Amino acid sequence: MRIVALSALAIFVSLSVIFGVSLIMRATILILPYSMTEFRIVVEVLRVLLALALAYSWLRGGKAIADWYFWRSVSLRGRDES
Amino acid sequence: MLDVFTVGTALTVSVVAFAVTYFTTPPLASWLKHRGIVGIDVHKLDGPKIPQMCGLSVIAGLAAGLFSLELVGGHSPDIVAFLGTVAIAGIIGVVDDVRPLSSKLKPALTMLAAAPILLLGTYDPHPIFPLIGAFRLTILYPMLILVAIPVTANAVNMLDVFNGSMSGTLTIVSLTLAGVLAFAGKATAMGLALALSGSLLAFYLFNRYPARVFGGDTGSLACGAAVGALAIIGRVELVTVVALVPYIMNAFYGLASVGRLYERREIKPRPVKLRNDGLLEATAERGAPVTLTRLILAEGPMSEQQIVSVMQVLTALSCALAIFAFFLVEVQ
Repeated sequence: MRIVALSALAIFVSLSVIFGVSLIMRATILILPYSMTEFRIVVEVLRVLLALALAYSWLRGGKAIADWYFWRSVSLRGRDES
Repeated sequence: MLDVFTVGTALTVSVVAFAVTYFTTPPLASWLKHRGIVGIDVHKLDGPKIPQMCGLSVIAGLAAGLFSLELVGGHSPDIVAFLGTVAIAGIIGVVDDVRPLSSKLKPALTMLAAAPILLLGTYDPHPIFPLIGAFRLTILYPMLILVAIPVTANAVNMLDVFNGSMSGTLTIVSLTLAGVLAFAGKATAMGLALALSGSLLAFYLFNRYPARVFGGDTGSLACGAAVGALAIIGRVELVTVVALVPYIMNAFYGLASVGRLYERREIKPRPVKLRNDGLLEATAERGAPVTLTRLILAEGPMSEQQIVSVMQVLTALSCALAIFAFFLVEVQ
Protein backbone atom coordinates (compact mmCIF):
# COMPACT_ATOMS: atom_id res chain seq x y z
CA MET A 1 0.00 0.00 0.00
CA ARG A 2 2.79 2.41 0.93
CA ILE A 3 4.55 1.91 -2.43
CA VAL A 4 1.26 2.88 -4.16
CA ALA A 5 0.94 6.03 -2.03
CA LEU A 6 4.58 7.02 -2.56
CA SER A 7 4.43 6.22 -6.28
CA ALA A 8 1.33 8.39 -6.57
CA LEU A 9 3.22 11.20 -4.82
CA ALA A 10 6.26 10.77 -7.13
CA ILE A 11 4.01 10.68 -10.23
CA PHE A 12 2.17 13.79 -9.04
CA VAL A 13 5.46 15.63 -8.45
CA SER A 14 6.99 14.46 -11.76
CA LEU A 15 3.95 15.36 -13.88
CA SER A 16 3.61 18.69 -12.14
CA VAL A 17 7.30 19.34 -12.90
CA ILE A 18 6.79 18.51 -16.59
CA PHE A 19 3.60 20.48 -17.11
CA GLY A 20 4.08 22.97 -14.28
CA VAL A 21 7.41 24.16 -15.67
CA SER A 22 5.83 24.65 -19.10
CA LEU A 23 2.96 26.61 -17.57
CA ILE A 24 5.35 28.68 -15.46
CA MET A 25 7.51 29.45 -18.50
CA ARG A 26 4.48 30.27 -20.63
CA ALA A 27 3.18 32.58 -17.90
CA THR A 28 6.51 34.39 -17.69
CA ILE A 29 6.62 34.77 -21.50
CA LEU A 30 3.09 36.20 -21.49
CA ILE A 31 3.82 38.62 -18.66
CA LEU A 32 7.27 39.56 -19.98
CA PRO A 33 7.31 39.01 -23.77
CA TYR A 34 10.39 38.72 -26.03
CA SER A 35 9.52 42.08 -27.64
CA MET A 36 10.86 43.86 -24.55
CA THR A 37 14.42 43.38 -25.81
CA GLU A 38 15.63 46.84 -24.83
CA PHE A 39 15.43 45.73 -21.21
CA ARG A 40 16.73 42.22 -21.85
CA ILE A 41 18.64 41.78 -18.61
CA VAL A 42 15.75 43.17 -16.56
CA VAL A 43 13.30 40.91 -18.39
CA GLU A 44 15.51 37.85 -17.85
CA VAL A 45 15.98 38.60 -14.14
CA LEU A 46 12.24 39.16 -13.68
CA ARG A 47 11.44 35.99 -15.60
CA VAL A 48 13.74 33.90 -13.46
CA LEU A 49 12.46 35.49 -10.24
CA LEU A 50 8.87 34.91 -11.31
CA ALA A 51 9.62 31.32 -12.31
CA LEU A 52 11.41 30.72 -8.99
CA ALA A 53 8.51 32.19 -7.01
CA LEU A 54 6.01 29.97 -8.84
CA ALA A 55 8.26 26.91 -8.51
CA TYR A 56 8.69 27.58 -4.79
CA SER A 57 4.91 27.80 -4.30
CA TRP A 58 4.55 24.51 -6.18
CA LEU A 59 7.22 22.85 -3.99
CA ARG A 60 5.46 24.12 -0.83
CA GLY A 61 2.24 22.57 -2.15
CA GLY A 62 4.01 19.23 -2.62
CA LYS A 63 5.49 19.53 0.86
CA ALA A 64 2.03 20.13 2.36
CA ILE A 65 0.76 16.92 0.70
CA ALA A 66 3.81 14.96 1.94
CA ASP A 67 3.35 16.33 5.48
CA TRP A 68 -0.34 15.44 5.47
CA TYR A 69 0.46 11.87 4.30
CA PHE A 70 3.26 11.43 6.86
CA TRP A 71 1.44 12.69 9.97
CA ARG A 72 -1.80 10.95 9.02
CA SER A 73 0.07 7.62 8.61
CA VAL A 74 1.95 8.12 11.88
CA SER A 75 -1.27 8.87 13.81
CA LEU A 76 -3.06 5.86 12.23
CA ARG A 77 -0.10 3.66 13.12
CA GLY A 78 -0.11 4.96 16.70
CA ARG A 79 -3.86 4.24 16.99
CA ASP A 80 -3.37 0.67 15.66
CA GLU A 81 -0.53 0.02 18.12
CA SER A 82 -2.54 1.28 21.13
CA MET B 1 19.74 8.17 -33.40
CA LEU B 2 23.43 7.23 -33.38
CA ASP B 3 25.27 4.75 -35.61
CA VAL B 4 26.50 1.37 -34.39
CA PHE B 5 30.17 2.47 -34.18
CA THR B 6 29.35 5.42 -31.90
CA VAL B 7 27.18 3.30 -29.63
CA GLY B 8 29.93 0.62 -29.55
CA THR B 9 32.50 3.27 -28.57
CA ALA B 10 30.28 4.56 -25.77
CA LEU B 11 29.67 1.04 -24.47
CA THR B 12 33.44 0.41 -24.48
CA VAL B 13 33.87 3.56 -22.40
CA SER B 14 31.31 2.19 -19.95
CA VAL B 15 33.15 -1.15 -19.71
CA VAL B 16 36.48 0.65 -19.06
CA ALA B 17 34.88 2.78 -16.32
CA PHE B 18 33.26 -0.31 -14.79
CA ALA B 19 36.52 -2.31 -14.82
CA VAL B 20 38.65 0.47 -13.28
CA THR B 21 36.15 1.11 -10.47
CA TYR B 22 35.65 -2.61 -9.88
CA PHE B 23 39.36 -3.37 -9.56
CA THR B 24 40.41 -0.23 -7.66
CA THR B 25 37.69 -0.35 -4.98
CA PRO B 26 38.98 -3.37 -2.91
CA PRO B 27 42.62 -2.16 -2.61
CA LEU B 28 41.45 1.41 -1.90
CA ALA B 29 39.06 0.12 0.80
CA SER B 30 41.87 -1.91 2.44
CA TRP B 31 44.19 1.10 2.39
CA LEU B 32 41.54 3.42 3.87
CA LYS B 33 40.67 0.89 6.58
CA HIS B 34 44.35 0.48 7.42
CA ARG B 35 44.60 4.27 7.77
CA GLY B 36 41.52 4.37 10.02
CA ILE B 37 39.43 6.34 7.51
CA VAL B 38 36.20 4.55 8.37
CA GLY B 39 32.59 5.40 9.12
CA ILE B 40 30.17 3.55 11.41
CA ASP B 41 27.21 1.93 9.67
CA VAL B 42 24.61 3.34 12.06
CA HIS B 43 21.73 1.37 10.58
CA LYS B 44 23.14 -1.98 11.74
CA LEU B 45 22.77 -3.29 15.31
CA ASP B 46 26.49 -4.12 15.62
CA GLY B 47 27.55 -0.78 14.04
CA PRO B 48 30.37 -2.11 11.82
CA LYS B 49 33.20 0.17 10.74
CA ILE B 50 33.22 0.57 6.95
CA PRO B 51 35.99 2.24 4.90
CA GLN B 52 34.84 5.70 3.87
CA MET B 53 35.83 7.93 0.92
CA CYS B 54 35.76 4.97 -1.50
CA GLY B 55 33.98 7.30 -3.93
CA LEU B 56 37.53 8.00 -5.11
CA SER B 57 37.34 4.74 -7.06
CA VAL B 58 34.20 6.02 -8.85
CA ILE B 59 36.11 9.16 -9.85
CA ALA B 60 39.06 6.99 -10.99
CA GLY B 61 36.76 4.80 -13.09
CA LEU B 62 35.03 7.83 -14.54
CA ALA B 63 38.37 9.45 -15.40
CA ALA B 64 39.60 6.24 -17.10
CA GLY B 65 36.35 5.98 -19.07
CA LEU B 66 36.60 9.60 -20.17
CA PHE B 67 40.25 9.23 -21.23
CA SER B 68 39.24 6.26 -23.39
CA LEU B 69 36.38 8.34 -24.83
CA GLU B 70 38.87 11.09 -25.66
CA LEU B 71 41.23 8.54 -27.28
CA VAL B 72 38.60 6.74 -29.35
CA GLY B 73 36.02 9.43 -29.95
CA GLY B 74 38.39 12.40 -30.36
CA HIS B 75 38.95 15.53 -28.28
CA SER B 76 35.93 17.40 -26.99
CA PRO B 77 35.72 20.31 -24.54
CA ASP B 78 32.61 18.60 -23.14
CA ILE B 79 34.79 15.77 -21.77
CA VAL B 80 37.26 18.20 -20.17
CA ALA B 81 34.47 20.29 -18.61
CA PHE B 82 32.69 17.19 -17.29
CA LEU B 83 35.84 15.70 -15.78
CA GLY B 84 36.83 19.08 -14.31
CA THR B 85 33.43 19.45 -12.63
CA VAL B 86 33.60 15.93 -11.17
CA ALA B 87 37.20 16.41 -9.99
CA ILE B 88 36.49 19.72 -8.22
CA ALA B 89 33.35 18.34 -6.53
CA GLY B 90 35.37 15.25 -5.54
CA ILE B 91 38.11 17.39 -3.97
CA ILE B 92 35.47 19.30 -1.96
CA GLY B 93 34.07 15.92 -0.90
CA VAL B 94 37.51 14.75 0.27
CA VAL B 95 37.89 17.94 2.33
CA ASP B 96 34.41 17.39 3.81
CA ASP B 97 35.17 13.75 4.63
CA VAL B 98 38.46 14.63 6.33
CA ARG B 99 37.30 17.81 8.06
CA PRO B 100 33.49 18.27 7.94
CA LEU B 101 32.43 21.56 6.36
CA SER B 102 29.58 23.71 7.67
CA SER B 103 26.11 23.42 6.12
CA LYS B 104 26.56 26.80 4.38
CA LEU B 105 30.19 26.44 3.28
CA LYS B 106 29.71 23.11 1.51
CA PRO B 107 27.10 24.30 -1.04
CA ALA B 108 29.06 27.53 -1.49
CA LEU B 109 32.24 25.61 -2.28
CA THR B 110 30.47 23.24 -4.69
CA MET B 111 29.72 26.31 -6.83
CA LEU B 112 33.39 26.12 -7.82
CA ALA B 113 32.63 22.82 -9.56
CA ALA B 114 30.61 24.77 -12.14
CA ALA B 115 33.74 26.70 -13.21
CA PRO B 116 34.97 24.24 -15.92
CA ILE B 117 31.57 24.34 -17.69
CA LEU B 118 31.48 28.14 -17.55
CA LEU B 119 35.13 28.63 -18.58
CA LEU B 120 34.94 26.20 -21.50
CA GLY B 121 31.48 27.43 -22.51
CA THR B 122 30.06 23.91 -22.84
CA TYR B 123 26.46 25.02 -22.41
CA ASP B 124 23.65 26.42 -24.49
CA PRO B 125 21.69 29.22 -22.78
CA HIS B 126 18.42 28.12 -24.43
CA PRO B 127 16.98 25.34 -22.23
CA ILE B 128 14.16 23.44 -23.95
CA PHE B 129 10.78 22.87 -22.29
CA PRO B 130 7.86 20.72 -23.41
CA LEU B 131 5.01 22.55 -25.18
CA ILE B 132 7.11 25.74 -25.35
CA GLY B 133 10.46 24.93 -26.97
CA ALA B 134 13.71 26.79 -26.33
CA PHE B 135 13.56 29.48 -23.65
CA ARG B 136 16.07 32.30 -24.08
CA LEU B 137 18.21 32.93 -20.98
CA THR B 138 21.42 34.20 -22.56
CA ILE B 139 22.51 36.39 -19.67
CA LEU B 140 21.19 34.49 -16.65
CA TYR B 141 21.87 30.91 -17.72
CA PRO B 142 25.55 30.96 -16.62
CA MET B 143 24.44 32.15 -13.17
CA LEU B 144 21.87 29.36 -13.02
CA ILE B 145 24.70 26.87 -13.72
CA LEU B 146 26.40 28.17 -10.57
CA VAL B 147 23.26 27.17 -8.66
CA ALA B 148 22.45 23.95 -10.57
CA ILE B 149 25.72 22.11 -9.81
CA PRO B 150 25.57 22.67 -5.99
CA VAL B 151 21.85 21.74 -6.01
CA THR B 152 22.38 18.38 -7.75
CA ALA B 153 25.60 17.63 -5.83
CA ASN B 154 24.04 18.32 -2.42
CA ALA B 155 20.67 16.70 -3.27
CA VAL B 156 22.50 13.46 -4.15
CA ASN B 157 24.62 13.83 -1.01
CA MET B 158 21.46 14.08 1.12
CA LEU B 159 20.09 10.75 -0.17
CA ASP B 160 23.35 8.85 0.41
CA VAL B 161 22.09 7.53 3.74
CA PHE B 162 21.70 3.76 3.26
CA ASN B 163 23.73 0.93 1.78
CA GLY B 164 23.45 1.32 -1.99
CA SER B 165 20.85 4.11 -1.89
CA MET B 166 22.95 6.63 -3.83
CA SER B 167 24.89 4.26 -6.10
CA GLY B 168 21.83 2.15 -7.01
CA THR B 169 19.41 4.96 -7.76
CA LEU B 170 21.98 7.11 -9.55
CA THR B 171 22.90 4.14 -11.79
CA ILE B 172 19.25 4.07 -12.91
CA VAL B 173 19.29 7.85 -13.50
CA SER B 174 22.56 7.82 -15.50
CA LEU B 175 21.40 4.87 -17.65
CA THR B 176 18.17 6.75 -18.39
CA LEU B 177 20.12 9.86 -19.37
CA ALA B 178 22.39 7.73 -21.59
CA GLY B 179 19.34 6.32 -23.38
CA VAL B 180 17.76 9.75 -23.82
CA LEU B 181 21.02 11.26 -25.11
CA ALA B 182 21.41 8.34 -27.56
CA PHE B 183 17.94 9.11 -28.94
CA ALA B 184 18.85 12.79 -29.15
CA GLY B 185 21.97 11.86 -31.18
CA LYS B 186 24.39 13.43 -28.69
CA ALA B 187 27.32 11.02 -28.90
CA THR B 188 29.77 12.64 -26.48
CA ALA B 189 27.18 13.34 -23.80
CA MET B 190 25.93 9.75 -24.11
CA GLY B 191 29.54 8.56 -23.62
CA LEU B 192 29.78 10.69 -20.45
CA ALA B 193 26.51 9.21 -19.13
CA LEU B 194 27.62 5.64 -19.89
CA ALA B 195 30.99 6.19 -18.22
CA LEU B 196 29.13 7.41 -15.11
CA SER B 197 26.74 4.45 -15.14
CA GLY B 198 29.61 1.97 -15.60
CA SER B 199 31.50 3.40 -12.61
CA LEU B 200 28.39 3.58 -10.45
CA LEU B 201 27.30 0.03 -11.27
CA ALA B 202 30.72 -1.34 -10.29
CA PHE B 203 30.64 0.69 -7.08
CA TYR B 204 27.10 -0.49 -6.30
CA LEU B 205 28.35 -4.10 -6.18
CA PHE B 206 30.47 -3.15 -3.13
CA ASN B 207 28.18 -0.50 -1.67
CA ARG B 208 24.88 -2.47 -1.70
CA TYR B 209 23.56 -4.15 1.45
CA PRO B 210 25.55 -5.19 3.48
CA ALA B 211 27.96 -2.44 2.43
CA ARG B 212 31.66 -3.23 2.28
CA VAL B 213 32.53 0.35 1.29
CA PHE B 214 31.09 3.84 1.73
CA GLY B 215 31.43 6.47 -0.99
CA GLY B 216 31.50 9.30 1.54
CA ASP B 217 30.90 12.89 0.51
CA THR B 218 33.73 12.37 -1.97
CA GLY B 219 31.54 9.99 -3.97
CA SER B 220 28.15 11.61 -3.50
CA LEU B 221 29.24 15.18 -4.28
CA ALA B 222 31.25 14.05 -7.34
CA CYS B 223 28.40 11.89 -8.69
CA GLY B 224 25.76 14.58 -8.01
CA ALA B 225 27.89 17.20 -9.77
CA ALA B 226 28.38 14.74 -12.65
CA VAL B 227 24.62 14.41 -13.14
CA GLY B 228 24.21 18.20 -13.02
CA ALA B 229 27.00 18.62 -15.58
CA LEU B 230 25.39 15.97 -17.82
CA ALA B 231 22.09 17.87 -17.75
CA ILE B 232 23.79 21.08 -18.86
CA ILE B 233 26.25 19.64 -21.40
CA GLY B 234 23.64 17.30 -22.91
CA ARG B 235 20.89 19.97 -22.90
CA VAL B 236 18.53 17.68 -20.99
CA GLU B 237 17.85 19.95 -18.02
CA LEU B 238 14.15 19.22 -17.53
CA VAL B 239 14.56 15.49 -18.20
CA THR B 240 17.24 15.36 -15.48
CA VAL B 241 15.06 17.28 -13.02
CA VAL B 242 12.22 14.78 -13.53
CA ALA B 243 14.60 11.79 -13.21
CA LEU B 244 15.90 13.28 -9.95
CA VAL B 245 12.43 13.82 -8.41
CA PRO B 246 13.05 11.44 -5.44
CA TYR B 247 16.26 13.38 -4.68
CA ILE B 248 14.48 16.72 -5.02
CA MET B 249 11.59 15.57 -2.82
CA ASN B 250 14.05 14.37 -0.18
CA ALA B 251 16.18 17.52 -0.24
CA PHE B 252 13.38 20.09 -0.41
CA TYR B 253 11.11 18.42 2.15
CA GLY B 254 14.07 18.08 4.52
CA LEU B 255 15.17 21.70 4.05
CA ALA B 256 11.60 23.04 4.28
CA SER B 257 11.00 21.07 7.51
CA VAL B 258 14.14 22.42 9.18
CA GLY B 259 13.80 25.87 7.59
CA ARG B 260 17.49 26.25 6.69
CA LEU B 261 20.51 24.46 5.23
CA TYR B 262 21.58 21.70 7.61
CA GLU B 263 23.97 18.82 8.09
CA ARG B 264 22.60 15.49 9.34
CA ARG B 265 24.85 15.62 12.41
CA GLU B 266 23.39 19.03 13.42
CA ILE B 267 19.81 17.72 13.78
CA LYS B 268 19.12 16.56 17.31
CA PRO B 269 15.58 15.08 16.90
CA ARG B 270 16.27 11.94 14.82
CA PRO B 271 13.95 11.31 11.83
CA VAL B 272 14.51 7.54 11.98
CA LYS B 273 15.45 5.09 14.74
CA LEU B 274 16.91 1.59 14.69
CA ARG B 275 14.78 -0.93 16.59
CA ASN B 276 16.08 -3.89 18.56
CA ASP B 277 14.89 -6.27 15.81
CA GLY B 278 17.11 -4.45 13.27
CA LEU B 279 14.22 -2.74 11.47
CA LEU B 280 14.11 1.01 10.93
CA GLU B 281 11.19 3.09 12.14
CA ALA B 282 10.11 6.71 11.53
CA THR B 283 10.06 8.68 14.76
CA ALA B 284 7.12 10.92 15.67
CA GLU B 285 9.49 13.80 16.55
CA ARG B 286 7.96 17.08 15.37
CA GLY B 287 11.33 18.80 14.96
CA ALA B 288 12.86 16.10 12.75
CA PRO B 289 12.92 16.69 8.98
CA VAL B 290 10.25 14.88 6.91
CA THR B 291 12.69 13.25 4.51
CA LEU B 292 11.97 10.65 1.82
CA THR B 293 13.09 7.90 4.21
CA ARG B 294 10.61 9.09 6.81
CA LEU B 295 7.83 9.14 4.21
CA ILE B 296 8.72 5.57 3.18
CA LEU B 297 8.59 4.49 6.83
CA ALA B 298 5.42 6.44 7.67
CA GLU B 299 3.15 3.38 7.53
CA GLY B 300 5.42 1.10 9.55
CA PRO B 301 8.97 -0.19 10.08
CA MET B 302 11.06 -1.71 7.29
CA SER B 303 14.50 -3.23 6.81
CA GLU B 304 17.26 -1.15 5.24
CA GLN B 305 17.15 -3.32 2.09
CA GLN B 306 13.39 -2.76 1.69
CA ILE B 307 13.81 1.02 2.04
CA VAL B 308 16.49 1.06 -0.67
CA SER B 309 14.28 -1.11 -2.91
CA VAL B 310 11.43 1.40 -2.53
CA MET B 311 13.85 4.23 -3.40
CA GLN B 312 14.92 2.32 -6.51
CA VAL B 313 11.30 1.75 -7.56
CA LEU B 314 10.51 5.46 -7.11
CA THR B 315 13.62 6.40 -9.11
CA ALA B 316 12.69 3.97 -11.91
CA LEU B 317 9.21 5.53 -11.99
CA SER B 318 10.66 9.06 -12.17
CA CYS B 319 13.03 7.94 -14.93
CA ALA B 320 10.09 6.53 -16.93
CA LEU B 321 8.39 9.93 -16.60
CA ALA B 322 11.68 11.62 -17.56
CA ILE B 323 11.64 9.63 -20.82
CA PHE B 324 8.04 10.79 -21.33
CA ALA B 325 9.20 14.39 -20.77
CA PHE B 326 12.00 13.88 -23.30
CA PHE B 327 9.56 12.70 -25.99
CA LEU B 328 7.28 15.67 -25.24
CA VAL B 329 10.28 17.93 -25.89
CA GLU B 330 11.15 15.97 -29.05
CA VAL B 331 7.57 16.29 -30.36
CA GLN B 332 7.90 20.01 -29.78
